[in-house]
Amino acid sequence: MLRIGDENCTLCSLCETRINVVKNVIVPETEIAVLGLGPGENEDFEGTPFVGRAGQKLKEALYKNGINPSDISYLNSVLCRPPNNKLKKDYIICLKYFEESLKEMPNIKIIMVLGVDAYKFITGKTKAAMSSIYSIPFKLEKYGDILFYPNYHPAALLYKPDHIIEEKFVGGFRIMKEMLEASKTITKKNNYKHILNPEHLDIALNVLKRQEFFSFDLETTSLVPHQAKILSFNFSWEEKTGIAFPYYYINNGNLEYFWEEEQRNKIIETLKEIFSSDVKVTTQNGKYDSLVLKHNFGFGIKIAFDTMLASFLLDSNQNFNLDSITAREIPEEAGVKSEFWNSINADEEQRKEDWYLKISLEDLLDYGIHDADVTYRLTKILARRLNNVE
Amino acid sequence: MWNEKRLFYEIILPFSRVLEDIEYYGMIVDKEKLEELKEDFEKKSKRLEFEIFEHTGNINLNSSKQLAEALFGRLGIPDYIEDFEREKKEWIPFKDEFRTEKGSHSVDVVVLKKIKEIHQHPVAELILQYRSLQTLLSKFVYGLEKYIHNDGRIHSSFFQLTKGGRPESSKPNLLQIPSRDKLGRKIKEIFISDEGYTIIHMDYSAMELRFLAWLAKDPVMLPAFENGKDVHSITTSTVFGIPYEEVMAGKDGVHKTKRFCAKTTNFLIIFGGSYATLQEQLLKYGDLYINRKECSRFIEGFYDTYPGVAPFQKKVEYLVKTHGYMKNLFGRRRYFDSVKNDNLDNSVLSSIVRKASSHLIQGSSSGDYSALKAVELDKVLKSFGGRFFNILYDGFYVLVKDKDVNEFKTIMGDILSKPEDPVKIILPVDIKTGKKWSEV
Repeated sequence: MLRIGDENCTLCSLCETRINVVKNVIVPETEIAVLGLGPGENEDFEGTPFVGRAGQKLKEALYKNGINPSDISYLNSVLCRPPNNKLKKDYIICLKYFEESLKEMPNIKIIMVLGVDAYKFITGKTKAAMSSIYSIPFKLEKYGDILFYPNYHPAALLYKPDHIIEEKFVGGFRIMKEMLEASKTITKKNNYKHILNPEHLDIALNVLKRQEFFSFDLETTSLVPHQAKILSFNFSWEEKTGIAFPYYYINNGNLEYFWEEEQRNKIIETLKEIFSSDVKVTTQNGKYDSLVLKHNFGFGIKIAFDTMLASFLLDSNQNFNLDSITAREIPEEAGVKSEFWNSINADEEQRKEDWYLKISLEDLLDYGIHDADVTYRLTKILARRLNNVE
Repeated sequence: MWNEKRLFYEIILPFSRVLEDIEYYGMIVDKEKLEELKEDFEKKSKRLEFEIFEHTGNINLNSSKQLAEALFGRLGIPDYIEDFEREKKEWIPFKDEFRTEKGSHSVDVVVLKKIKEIHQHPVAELILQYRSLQTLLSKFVYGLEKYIHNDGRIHSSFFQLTKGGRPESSKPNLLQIPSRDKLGRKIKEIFISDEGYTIIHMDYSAMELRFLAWLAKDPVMLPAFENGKDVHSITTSTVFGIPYEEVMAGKDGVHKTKRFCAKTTNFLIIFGGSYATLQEQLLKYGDLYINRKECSRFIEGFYDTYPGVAPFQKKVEYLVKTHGYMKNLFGRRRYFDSVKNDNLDNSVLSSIVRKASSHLIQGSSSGDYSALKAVELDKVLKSFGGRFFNILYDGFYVLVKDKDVNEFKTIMGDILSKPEDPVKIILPVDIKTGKKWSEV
């Protein structure tokens, strides 16, 4: 066990009010670490992180999930006690110790980020809400392949006991463990096909017509169905494979049709034929995709399965956005989407708006197929579970 | 037998398509009427502002701080009322201060209503009116304008993933239009039916209470419903010691207020809450101030009236403790893992039991059963060339061609009141028709 920090540090104003610098506790061979906001009263007094009541909660959750608390590293965003547990801008200097700590953990795979303040600290974001970041893993460019995994701060459970938050908190460790195990298994590479010329489009539409069951996802310009323009159509009917073709695309900053009229008509006619047949279509929140199709082309989808509705029915305490369900159910895919968002540097707000303006067509299609792919795989998992409930 | 699988494929998925239709077609907005309302509301708001300033002087009415200074400072309105609080078994006098948890003055609706009822200062009512006008203006007048699509309709978005299974709408949230006051009704005037179509509105009457009576097999409430008696008047009768017939005779007159208290208590038991919650609801919805001791007596009176309910809640507690989840009649589960903690706090336990019992009652009735009926109704509706207009909680609004209204009303009533597995009771429905949302 190592301790990282400088007991004589005077890099920020916290040195005036602290009793102790609470150095990070590092287990060099560990694959897991937790990152808190900063020391509390007890920690400041004893000079050791996570020794107070919140730390106790944390350790209980680790035990419950079969993780020995002495096998992991304990990090804080700031190493000195921040008054009123509030972060200030100049504390960011303390990132230095976080980064030094990383260097001492060559095997580190996952860092659980406890609470929204630690999240803001590590990502540099100024706005975030726990309810929307919980359980959505992400990576940060400067820290390479380390997966950051947000969870509630155990102190939140002490202020206001809430059984749902408690379950989410404890459950977060289970998911983290699963992601860790999944990251070690080597799996087949994805086979994602981009359909970008008329010949390939013909083939793709014909192949699509032959499918009896596939997942479907649209990428669009808006979350409001009657204002949305379609950027890409995405399909998957086999694990880790999928196809996508664009519809509108960004050309010199303008939204333009990707295809000539002939191809566009072919796309619309074929999809109309497919969606009015007996084909089984699975989606994530397919009501949206169906509405977008209706507003754009006058026909919708008969949805045979919906992963969002199913996952919510199976456990209404968990988050139901696609990234969260994926992290829970297909841990090896956790974090894939965040690499994408990082690549275009989009924060949560931008994701809702003009993200598509910044992204290459290739990335957009990959992103869409990935959604279709995981939707297909989640369908298998969730449908099986629905069949098995007693 | 219902289970999650059947629930998913037979209710949740098809219901999602019903909601999709409502979103797709949207509701026509009468833009002229909206303009008219805007003018009217703005004028009223200005006048109210003027009247309030006569009391308070010129202040920023949106600043709670300035308002509090005016009310409790300049106007000298006391910033508390005398009430009672239960300590163990005793009721002791208690100073109910108008302050937030952080200690600053609060001037929210409940406080204003307390000022109005207890301190009887006329400015409170003016501020309340001003506030509700402002809310309506921002949410449903200015707010609505931005949601009118270029087809002249608003396409509100429905969210199906609520714990009880009752959909919620957003952009705009139509559930927020107050149904109890005149102004709310005015807002509803701007939503109109399509040309040649009539809106039919159908509402289950006292659906949740009927489910409670049935599931608890309550020896008083169940026969009362079966014999067409007024359950709210039964509660009134025992709580206030007035014969049932007398309550019924004065239900819109001398006993109206008492019956309102009883009715609010009846609903409190279903939706869950303490005597403090009851006090707030009586204030909010009925402009009635009843002290906490009395509110608590109403709740005790409820349990005395219906001896089957307390044992039923005990049973729910037992089930949720044993399984760690509660299942509703359709197999929908809600997990309460922490109920298994050995050192479970009493207040946490009672909150879990409240949620579990509401999951069973509300979730089975206005949640999944309503959705099942909506799916059934939608099929027949389509064969008539009609469609759903809106769904609010357990109320359905549908559009049918003018010529089909009478025939469809009968069919609709039959479909909706007919019990369907797993429900074994007949649920009476109220049906109204009109050309505007406000008329139904």
